[in-house]
Amino acid sequence: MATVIFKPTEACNARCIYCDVVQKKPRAPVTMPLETLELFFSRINEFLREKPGEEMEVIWHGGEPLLLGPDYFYQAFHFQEKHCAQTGSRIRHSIQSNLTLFSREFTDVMKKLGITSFGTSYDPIENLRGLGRKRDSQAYNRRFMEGIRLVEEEGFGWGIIYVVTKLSLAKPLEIFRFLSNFSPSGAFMFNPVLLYGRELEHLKVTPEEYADFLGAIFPVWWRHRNEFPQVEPFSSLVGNLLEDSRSLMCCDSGACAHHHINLLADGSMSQCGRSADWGLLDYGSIFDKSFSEVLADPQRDVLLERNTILPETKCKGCRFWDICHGGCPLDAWSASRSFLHKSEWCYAKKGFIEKYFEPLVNPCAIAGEGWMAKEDSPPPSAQPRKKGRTRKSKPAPEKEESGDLPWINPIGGLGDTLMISGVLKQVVEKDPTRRFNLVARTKYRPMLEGHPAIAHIGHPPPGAGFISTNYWDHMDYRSPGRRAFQILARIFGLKPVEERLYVPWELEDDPAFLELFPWKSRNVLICQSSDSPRKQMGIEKWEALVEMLAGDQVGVFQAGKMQDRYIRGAYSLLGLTTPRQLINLVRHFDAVVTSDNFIMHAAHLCGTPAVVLWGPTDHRVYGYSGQIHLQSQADCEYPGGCLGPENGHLYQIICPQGPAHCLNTLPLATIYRAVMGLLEKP
Amino acid sequence: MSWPRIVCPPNRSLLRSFTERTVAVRVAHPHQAAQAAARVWESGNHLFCVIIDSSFSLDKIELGEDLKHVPLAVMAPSWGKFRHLARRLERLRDFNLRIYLPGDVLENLAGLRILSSLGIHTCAVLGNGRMDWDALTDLMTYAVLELAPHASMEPFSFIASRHDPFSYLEWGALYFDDPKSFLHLDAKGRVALSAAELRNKQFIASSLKEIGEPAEFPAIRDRLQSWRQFFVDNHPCASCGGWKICLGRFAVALPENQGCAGFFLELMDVARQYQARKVQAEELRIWQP
Repeated sequence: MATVIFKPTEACNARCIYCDVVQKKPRAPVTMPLETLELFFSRINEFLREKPGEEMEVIWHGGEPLLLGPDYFYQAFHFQEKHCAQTGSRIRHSIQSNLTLFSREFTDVMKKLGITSFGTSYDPIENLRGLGRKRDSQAYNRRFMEGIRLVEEEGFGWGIIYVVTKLSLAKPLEIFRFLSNFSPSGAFMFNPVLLYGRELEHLKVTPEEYADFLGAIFPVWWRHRNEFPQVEPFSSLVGNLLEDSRSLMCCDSGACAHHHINLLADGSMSQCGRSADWGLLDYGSIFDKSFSEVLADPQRDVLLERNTILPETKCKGCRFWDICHGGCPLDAWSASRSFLHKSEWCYAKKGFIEKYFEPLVNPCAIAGEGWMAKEDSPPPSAQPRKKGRTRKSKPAPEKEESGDLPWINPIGGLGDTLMISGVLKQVVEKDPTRRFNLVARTKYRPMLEGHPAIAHIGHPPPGAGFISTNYWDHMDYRSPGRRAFQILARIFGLKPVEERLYVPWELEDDPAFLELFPWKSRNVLICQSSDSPRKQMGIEKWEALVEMLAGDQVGVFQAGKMQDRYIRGAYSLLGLTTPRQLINLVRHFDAVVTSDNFIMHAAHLCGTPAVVLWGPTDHRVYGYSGQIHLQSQADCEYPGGCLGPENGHLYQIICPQGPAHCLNTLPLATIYRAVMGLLEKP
Repeated sequence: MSWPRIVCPPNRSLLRSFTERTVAVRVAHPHQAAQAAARVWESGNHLFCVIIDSSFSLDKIELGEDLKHVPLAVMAPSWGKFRHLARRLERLRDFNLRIYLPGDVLENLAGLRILSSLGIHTCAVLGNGRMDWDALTDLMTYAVLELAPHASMEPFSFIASRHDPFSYLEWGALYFDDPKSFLHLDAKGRVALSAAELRNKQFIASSLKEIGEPAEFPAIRDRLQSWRQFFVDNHPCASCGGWKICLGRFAVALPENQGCAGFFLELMDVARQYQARKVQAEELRIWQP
């Protein structure tokens, strides 16, 4: 999306100490004349008509844009209506304001422009931001809070940019708490103060200091990240490094050359605010050039050249290239007078990730399997492993010491636990030195106790690093057909692996079971059970199946929980077996008929042929090759199945379609034929 | 904002000065409670509860049979002697009541726990916050996480079940001190924002009629927005991890943190556990396929 950083005024009612706008000599005109404003919208229309697939974002910036008053915004809206009748739906407005001038008179026009949220900034430290020449921070704070209250009452959202200065460094957590308390459901972002060429030594921070500032906050955010609003740069880093949800800001995207235009009140255009301030990348005037011409300006080439030159020079081998691209070109120019350098803030990102982010978020990286061992990472030659380096910052744990080992917090069903167990087995097969602690939880302990990858089962101490096994929250899970087992493998730093399950005990027979059961010559284990009612086929259908199988002299045994409904005609094992006993038993059956549950995984583990009945979940995600998968087609609002990504809340809720829910649509004859097909195999 | 409930004395003429309101009447003695409830019903208003604000210890408070169907908030300074109270416990369970005891007396904390374990709903009055926060933490953990059956104990149960990390939680209504939920009237109908302000004769209006739309009434609006001042002033409470469920309610009494922050952080953690337990209740079963 093309983006115009629109600065219709450079006037501001505040005198924030680190702001460039108030320091420089005002250009004439200070406020964009209405004629130029009209031309602006005419240019937007021209651009969008030329490019039918494009959208344009207009970021109202300044100065303080609310100084323009509501009428100015109404004029803008009028010009948009007048000139962009066909293209207006492709214009997105957003605004950055200090909000000290917000009043209800702005509400209507902001909503007309489609603005739903305000970007703003704040600093609880006194005398950094303030109103008027005296920089009155008390007055600023009062009016800011009043503005926030009004904005909330008028139904707008808001987010804060916090500028990290030297004064912030002493109290990172205090500031973080302040912002997260103040904005519990909003968003905020930390940016380092940028003081190009200005003598404000008491405010300057180095990249190292900025990284340490973030590092002091990060563990607190990470530990309860689901309880904090979106906090940058943390949220983006997690998205970019852990979830593959690539979201890069202009300074990291390496693509600002394609999209960005800065427009000043006099109609002059440049790359961005700083390039305009420094007289760089002057793209001419809106009076003379269309946006298409500006976006094609050959001066932009140097910004694009960075993407080919830096990976071979300054950024060669950097494993963070994909999420940084050398940083902001203007930062680079500021330090070196050349765009073809990396940003002087390189360490802020890299240092933070290596020193604070990786040790906590991805202990796998420390143990030797970083996220850069991903399928889509650059070839090894361009990307030396940082094993030694990361180990230096935090030594790899000794084999039998459990103190610093990452903790696995197992969640999900027992089938998930079998997958985790299988993945962990392959982890230790690949690197016999890797070990994990396991959070003691009643349900999972018997399944993982004695596992070669588990050093200790217990309760994690404060500050422990965790690996969560909730693969369903992983971005990959949203791609249709991405297999749960492979996502789990990836969480543990493995490349695509063979899907082998594993249990850390020898499979043994219980003579009592084997002797007491009324075995027949052919025996089938059935399991209707699931924690989700949506994954349970109707009992009548099961009973009909049992009757048909019994008619063929097939012994039918039912496994499940004590509270499951008994299927008439089957030999009930409900509630009589532990999971371990059940796994031991599965291998004695000629076939298993089950829904998507633990027994399905157990059958794969034991090599017992299985017919698996699929409804709201996808056999491509969970089913194993070699099994017969009967997938019903959902005829409802969830064509891909209602228990896919984002629908976890439906798991334990009965399908509103009742007995007509998808799993019940599987034809009985098909199931029967599939089972008999397995039994009749030689 | 819907109209707040009214807290007032059971003054007949006062109660008749408004109708269709939900009213809590405050009396000093239990024997006044039944009559107070009747007066509310007679006046055409709805009874929220009768607040028995007693100066006697709990063991000396006698509730008559005629109060069995009246919602009661029994506030006592202490719980007195257990041997006296024990005789009444069985009967107390039959009432629709919540017992309020000050949380700044250690014996009361033990009393709250005992009452709760006996199935009697209770509320610890945190008052000015000068209390043994560690003991209160123990009590709170019991109230929220103890698996053995027990009656709810406020404010802990309320907070644990409603804590949402993405919003603030105001629980002053448990003590009738939240102008969004309750306005306090004296016998002359003058309006105060809280019981303490009523006692100090700090009125915001001479009658309910002056209030008009509560959300627009300046004193109410300002009180509901007063938390913002902590941020304007960069008050230490604004940077406290427990802010979202404390909202600086001990800022005046405890200008320097004397344990409240630790307590509220712990309470948030307990709330997390409580909510997670609800979600993961299936883990209590032995196994599931």
